[in-house]
Amino acid sequence: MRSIRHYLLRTLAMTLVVAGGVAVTAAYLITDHELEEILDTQLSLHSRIVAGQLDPNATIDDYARLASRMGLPDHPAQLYRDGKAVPVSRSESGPKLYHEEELKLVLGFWNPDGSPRLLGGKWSDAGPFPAPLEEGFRWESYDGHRWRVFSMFDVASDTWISMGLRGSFHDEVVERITWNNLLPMLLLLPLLLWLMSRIIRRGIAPIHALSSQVQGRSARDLRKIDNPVPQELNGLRQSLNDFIARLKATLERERRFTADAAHELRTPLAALRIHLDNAQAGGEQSLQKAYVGVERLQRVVEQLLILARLDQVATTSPATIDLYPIIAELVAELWPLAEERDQYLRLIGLTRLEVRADEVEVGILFRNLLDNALRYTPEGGQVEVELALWEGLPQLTVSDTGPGLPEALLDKVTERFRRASGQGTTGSGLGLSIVSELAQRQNAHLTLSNLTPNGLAVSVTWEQNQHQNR
Amino acid sequence: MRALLIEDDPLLGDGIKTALEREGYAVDWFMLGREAISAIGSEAFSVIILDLGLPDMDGMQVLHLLRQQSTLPILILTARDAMEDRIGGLDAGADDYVLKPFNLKELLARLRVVMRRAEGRASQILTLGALSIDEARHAVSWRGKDVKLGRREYALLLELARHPDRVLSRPRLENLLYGWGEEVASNAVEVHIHHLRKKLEKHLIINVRGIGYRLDSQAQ
Repeated sequence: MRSIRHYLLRTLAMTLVVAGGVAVTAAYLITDHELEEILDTQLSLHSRIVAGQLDPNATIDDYARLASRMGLPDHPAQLYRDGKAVPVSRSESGPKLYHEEELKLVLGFWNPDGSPRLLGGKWSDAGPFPAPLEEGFRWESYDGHRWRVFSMFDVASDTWISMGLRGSFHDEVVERITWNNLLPMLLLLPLLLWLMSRIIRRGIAPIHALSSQVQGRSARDLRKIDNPVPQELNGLRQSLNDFIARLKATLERERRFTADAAHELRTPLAALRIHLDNAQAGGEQSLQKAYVGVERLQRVVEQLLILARLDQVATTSPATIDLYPIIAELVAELWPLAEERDQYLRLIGLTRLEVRADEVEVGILFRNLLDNALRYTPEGGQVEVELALWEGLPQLTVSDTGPGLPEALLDKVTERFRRASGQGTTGSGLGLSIVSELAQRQNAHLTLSNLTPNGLAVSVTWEQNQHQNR
Repeated sequence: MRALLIEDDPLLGDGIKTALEREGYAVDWFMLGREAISAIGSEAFSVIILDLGLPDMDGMQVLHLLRQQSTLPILILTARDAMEDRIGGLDAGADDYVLKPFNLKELLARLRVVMRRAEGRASQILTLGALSIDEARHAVSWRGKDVKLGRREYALLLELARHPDRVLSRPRLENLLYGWGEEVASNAVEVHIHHLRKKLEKHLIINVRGIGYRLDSQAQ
């Protein structure tokens, strides 16, 4: 699982860089275009001013004077006569450079036939600059440099005027503006990243707080998580608390089960021991009673083992089986027990009843039911086992003429170790909890009801939709 | 010595009752907590034995109710070895506990101890003048010589010796000697007193006419 903090930091940083890059690029392109327009306007404006100043009757001497003014240090303006360069006398004060950038702006005059008349310093360095062929803006390459050139033809003075700006001037300005945009961003980036990291850290701090609260707990600490959490974590906290509550209930059940199991095992053991003590001291019936204790202990141990197995094995292997032969076999098996107590045991109802269940588990279930019924029914009583279809559902009912159960206990008696009070019989209180657990596994449900005038009926009804469920 | 036994398990209750009776106790055995609570108000007992795992009421609750009505020594039987259960029982007013399954000798010894403590004695040998009774061995000696006594005679002598110089009424003695429902001959106590006087010394047990008997702690 990746870290939320790293994910947020990485994606936000990337977004920031990309957004910054797009912004700077856009600014660069816009500046480039706008600057070109501004500079073009300047070129055309200045060309018009120059044209307006031209005297139609100017002689070569007038141009020579102009040339001496236009000359720049190391780059004198060049005057031409009949296509040939004519030397120009320097002005008295010599050429002066007012600004570095002046070198990049040049003015030139051509005759109508395209022969040069007067060219500014830079445009005659490597032969005359290419003559203008038409009016307007164009890009021109000369002496290894790119030039932006505006040309116009002044009719009054019969002269081509061209004014040019070196491309690098424009490029440098654009570059400088772009840098000025980019630099603060680059300087701000580490600060922004640091801030984002802090904000993210603070934002997800509640997650850390919650997890450390759970992590730092001992396994026995099952208190609710009650420190306040932001809305987004409420659901998680709720789920955790629900889980803790369920865990607590399970542990509590386990704890009670252990305590109850201790009671159920130690009580017959104590009884066994004291009867053996009594037997040793000469008690006549004590040895017989000790055997009763052993039998009971054995029964409890067997039932505990069944429960333990049921707890462990989560799945059953259900098949469509006929209940009748299984039930009949078990009734026959427990017949001697009923006979011994002079009880009337009978099996009635259908002789074929198919259910979808695990054969072994049905056996354990029914055995416990019948055993319970025989145990709680007084001598001479009646126990009836019935196989029937109840509203189309397969149903197994065991009814007896015992004392029944107090109404309050009817729902609770399936809890482990719950035992009806005041009865002389020594049940472990595990029988019905085994039955209930097995019924659930068979997708059947258990119904207990008291009979009139006395007796208890326990029914196991298999659900109709069990075929779909399995 | 009459014990009130509260034990819901028929087999264990039967075993304890048999064992205690052999030791000379009269035992009243109840399987339900509420029966025991109603019995304690009406009868005289020397000690209460209570199993904490009862079906009708929580053992602790029974213990509380018993303590409200009686200052008798209470010994609890418990199958729960969790420390809290044992401490809870002692805090709720039990004098001692025995963990199931228990050794019979240990149960009897602890019963003697809680009863002795209730009387404010530290030794298990009770000495009054020339009379000495070893409760653990059920041995009685008079002027240094061992005397053999019957089960009831011993129990009767012990009851009198436990409350020396105090007059114990005849019905109370009958009560302490015989459990509820036991057949008691009308002159049973007189007969046992007669035997005791013959085996020990005539003036040791003084007849308080019309009321009962008292044991003279100064008898030589």
